[in-house]
Amino acid sequence: MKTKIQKSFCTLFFSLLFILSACSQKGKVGTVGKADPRDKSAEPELKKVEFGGELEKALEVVRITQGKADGNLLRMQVEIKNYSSKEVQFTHKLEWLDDEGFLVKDTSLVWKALMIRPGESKMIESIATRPGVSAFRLKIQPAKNP
Amino acid sequence: MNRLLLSLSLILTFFFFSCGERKPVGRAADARYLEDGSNKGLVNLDKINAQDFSRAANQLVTDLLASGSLAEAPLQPAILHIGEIRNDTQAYFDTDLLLQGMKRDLLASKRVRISTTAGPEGKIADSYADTVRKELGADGDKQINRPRPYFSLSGKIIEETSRVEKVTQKDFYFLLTLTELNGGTGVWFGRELITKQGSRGAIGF
Repeated sequence: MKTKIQKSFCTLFFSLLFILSACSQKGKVGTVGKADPRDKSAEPELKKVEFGGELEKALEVVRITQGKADGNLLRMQVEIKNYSSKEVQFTHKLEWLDDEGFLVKDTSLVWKALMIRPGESKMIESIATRPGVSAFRLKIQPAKNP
Repeated sequence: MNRLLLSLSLILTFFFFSCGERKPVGRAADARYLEDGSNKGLVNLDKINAQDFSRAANQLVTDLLASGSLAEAPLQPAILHIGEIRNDTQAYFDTDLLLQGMKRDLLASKRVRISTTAGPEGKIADSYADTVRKELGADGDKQINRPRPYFSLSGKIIEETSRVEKVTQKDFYFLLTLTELNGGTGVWFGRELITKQGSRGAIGF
């Protein structure tokens, strides 16, 4: 009798632990940006904050490329590769920061959906709409409806 | 032993429920605010949602700036006239939902100045400003200058529907054209496609 109770308790404990861990991963956001916001080189060093949940095992930021468009507008491109054997659906949002570190409020502040097939890499590209922009942050989150 | 098991189960149940979303008081009270550009907004198959307008505006502005077309104007920043954007979809909406975001970004880029007093009769953005300018101009006020637009932006939004069994696909095409007024030719042709597929709407994406 005692063993039965212990067995069922163990099952309950591990199921709850699993649900709890799944629950904490939900909605976690990963961020990618330049290690040094003032870095103006073509391929700046990456600064990555952990991706959320399953994305960490599947996605890798291959490189960030930056340059100037139309004179003095910062242009960036982030290459993301799916190293897993399943297709990955996620949403991403780009935040531009000006020279003083303030967030630029423009139309880029919107979550966009993206899907990457196994082994495929895709580019996320954008241009800052303000001349005084020097840094950016790319936020990545698992898609709700994969 | 049983007491210990009971208290442990209670603690775990408490953690489990505290992890879930907080429900407001009242059974059906679930209204909440969403931030602009949120990925928790509604996704409808039959209409263009707020996040779709923002995404289309952003992609089109990015493409326009990347093309370098605006830099071709001899006088910088060039004057841009916003012409008609036709809504050829099945749903009614004001095309300013797309254009206002684009205007803000284009103006902030310092590549253009946007005319709000030029355009055909009845389609001027600010008719009061236009009337005042005309009156002051007729009175010989020299502070009134009449810079002529160098570019005009026009376009249309098209909807295409396809179905396979119970799955519907909606394609919304945002097609914009930038015309250089002196030559009368298009110098940029923007195209942004937003595709949605599914059998019914969803909350969040």
